[in-house]
Amino acid sequence: MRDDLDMMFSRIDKDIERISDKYPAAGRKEKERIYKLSQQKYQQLKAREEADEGFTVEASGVERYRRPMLYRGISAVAAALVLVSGLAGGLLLTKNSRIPKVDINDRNNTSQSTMVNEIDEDKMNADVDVLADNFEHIMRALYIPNDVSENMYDDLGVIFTKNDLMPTTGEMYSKELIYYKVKDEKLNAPEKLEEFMEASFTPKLKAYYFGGDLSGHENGEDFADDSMAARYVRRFIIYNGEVLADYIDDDMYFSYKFDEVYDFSNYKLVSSKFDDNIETFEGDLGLNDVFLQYDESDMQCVVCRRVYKREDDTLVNADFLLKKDGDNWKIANYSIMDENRKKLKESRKENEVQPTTAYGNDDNADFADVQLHEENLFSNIDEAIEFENGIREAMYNGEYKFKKVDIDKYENQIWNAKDNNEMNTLENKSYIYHLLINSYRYFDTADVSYTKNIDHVYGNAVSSVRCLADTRNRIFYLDSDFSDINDYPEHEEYHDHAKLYSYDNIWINANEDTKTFLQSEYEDYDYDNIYVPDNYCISKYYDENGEIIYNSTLTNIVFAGKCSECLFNHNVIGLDNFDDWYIEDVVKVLGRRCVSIRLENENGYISEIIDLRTGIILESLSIDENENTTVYMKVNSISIDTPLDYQYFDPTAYTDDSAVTE
Amino acid sequence: MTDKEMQHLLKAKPERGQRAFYDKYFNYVYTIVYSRLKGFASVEDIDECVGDVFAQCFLFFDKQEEISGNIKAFTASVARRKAVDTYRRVARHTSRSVALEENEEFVSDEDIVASTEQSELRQLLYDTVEQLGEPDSTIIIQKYYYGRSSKEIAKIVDLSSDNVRTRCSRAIKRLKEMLYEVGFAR
Repeated sequence: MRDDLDMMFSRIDKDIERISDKYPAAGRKEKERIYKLSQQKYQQLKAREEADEGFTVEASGVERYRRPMLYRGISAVAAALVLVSGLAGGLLLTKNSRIPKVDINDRNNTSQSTMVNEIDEDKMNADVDVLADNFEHIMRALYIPNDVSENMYDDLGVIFTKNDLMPTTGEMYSKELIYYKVKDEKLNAPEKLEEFMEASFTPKLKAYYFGGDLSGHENGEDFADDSMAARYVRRFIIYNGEVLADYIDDDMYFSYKFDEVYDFSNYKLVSSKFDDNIETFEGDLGLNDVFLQYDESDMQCVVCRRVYKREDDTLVNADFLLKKDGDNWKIANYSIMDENRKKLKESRKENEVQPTTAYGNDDNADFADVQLHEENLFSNIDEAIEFENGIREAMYNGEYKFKKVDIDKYENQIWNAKDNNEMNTLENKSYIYHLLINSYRYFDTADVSYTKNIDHVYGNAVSSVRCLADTRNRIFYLDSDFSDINDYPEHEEYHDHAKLYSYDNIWINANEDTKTFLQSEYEDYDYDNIYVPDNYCISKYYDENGEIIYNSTLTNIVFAGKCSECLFNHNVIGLDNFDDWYIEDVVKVLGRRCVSIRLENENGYISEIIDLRTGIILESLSIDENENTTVYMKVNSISIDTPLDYQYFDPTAYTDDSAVTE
Repeated sequence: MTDKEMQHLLKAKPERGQRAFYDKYFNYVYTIVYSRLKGFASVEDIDECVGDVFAQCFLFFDKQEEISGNIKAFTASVARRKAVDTYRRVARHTSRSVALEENEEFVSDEDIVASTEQSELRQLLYDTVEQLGEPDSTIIIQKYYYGRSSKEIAKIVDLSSDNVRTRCSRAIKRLKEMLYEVGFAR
């Protein structure tokens, strides 16, 4: 009988029509939820279409390109990833950006160049003309995947994933590499690409960009555990006889587009100089700078420093590190900068953003005032992104310094407030907001134990956590025991006992059930000098209907995302709108003075009890629209700024399951 | 509301038009998407996909000076295309090969060779389920067509999940007797 009833399911059109005519396809709430989802997606599509109007690039007068929709979606996802990882990547890029000023006062001399020992200037310039043209072709293929296509998958070649390290947290996350077919006729066949790369780049730079033939790997393959394959997953690959490229995903992250950076054939060459002092050269390839600059050291080197003028009369500085490979000069690295020799990929067009509150880093100085909260609302996405880029740049450059506010003052002020109005002044709420964003800066060590219950649609999950954290010495330990009990037919009960350790710039994730562990290294950051003032953390753009189209957070939190329910909360997006939350009351929990805040949202509300001196969350409660508790976290014990019983990982009896990555 | 009235409303009062369109075609779109992705994508993926279909349709309506033609056929076409997109997206994450073209159907071999006899039997089955009456027929369809749990069905028919389980087992028993009487057999 069961088999007979299974026959009920059908993909035939007339059966679909009959079923959908007669029966509801979902419950009312699900239907309403999907309607809201449809509206959100529709508003996003509309906003993107509007934002992209005019985004077309004429490619050498032949082809016309437009980014496919998928690119934009991915950019948005990438922007979300930037919440934490952006700090790391940007820092790495900016660490080497102390570029000495170079005199470019001969802008009007279109052909002047400087002789360097034994270099035939004319011939070199002719060579660099060709190399710059080749370089432009290569970068164009990476920036703009394909010509106009109604179906964004038309030119999709293959998608791989590989693990990447999020340096601020040490977490491995899955990075998607989407390869599109290369259309440029100089590059669109394996032999052409090979030849083109060979002629343009030194072997090291070629290997940096060109991975080889990956046809033996299935679409969707995850290279996380395949060290050999991961070595060949590069910007260009060959797949099933076609040349594919994964494109530069910086639409949201960087201010400058291809035509503002690499479009040399449409710029006017202003000057071209050569010098053999490679010590002053700093390339654009981040971590690979040193590798690309000094390796291949047996080759003769020269730096060609070119100045180009765009159509709008602004200047582009293009420095090419050239090395002689056999008889031919080739590009070994490059650096593309604006007229002030600021790297374009890290720049924004106007830097009008200045901090409104002075922040000092001197422990002996007076306390800082709380920055009274203001929302960063923008009238369009571009402005929001531009603002965020400016803040990011200023942050990396150490322009903002953190200084503690007077916690005694605010603790007493809120604790002794006479009534709800006095409690909920802008200053007091700004203080709570400040504490939440900067919580870890207000305690050195913490030892907490808490439980968390989650009531989800198929059952409930319970986790018990103990966390030890030393924020100054970057030592972290978390013991988490998680059980998920549910009645959904395809989900089995799930249990997970894991321990997470961090010390000496490594993360170790130990699975206590399987007795395996993953280890990864990370680079520590100067958290004292890379800081975002409270009012610059979030930038938002609402459309005319009040829907959030762009909502980006920039924070710099040690151990971000770890023990985030309690110690290292970095998600303050909901709290950014002060109309949506208020201080309910003050309350003592575990002997500590706290505030209880209530944040309204469309699905109900969230109530949190927050320590008034550290911003640590001691309880949180999520209530849905039916007044049911869906999540409840409660700290059972807490000890702050006391000596810790540090925990270190002993690998005995564990198997090393660490993912091998580049 | 007729399609013509809706077409007019979509241009005259887009928000109301969109809502009317959504209400009219939600079941149809959801069922198309579900039928394409059943057993392959999660409930969340299916919901996302349905959202994509309507967002795409709303955007399309925005751009038309005048909306004409067969809305149902257009909607079905968008739903099928978006289901393919979702299939591919999910395939990427499950390392499955993505080889289907846009217009290629997710038709199993079983469907391709579905005989007239099978089709007639299925119509008979649907007829008999309808004769169960509400809410039992909806419970059976939700369980056997949409693969929902008693807890999920409970939310659709406004009953407790225990009640749904009880009604479901009784309905299956009745259905079996009714099918036996009409000579349903495979």
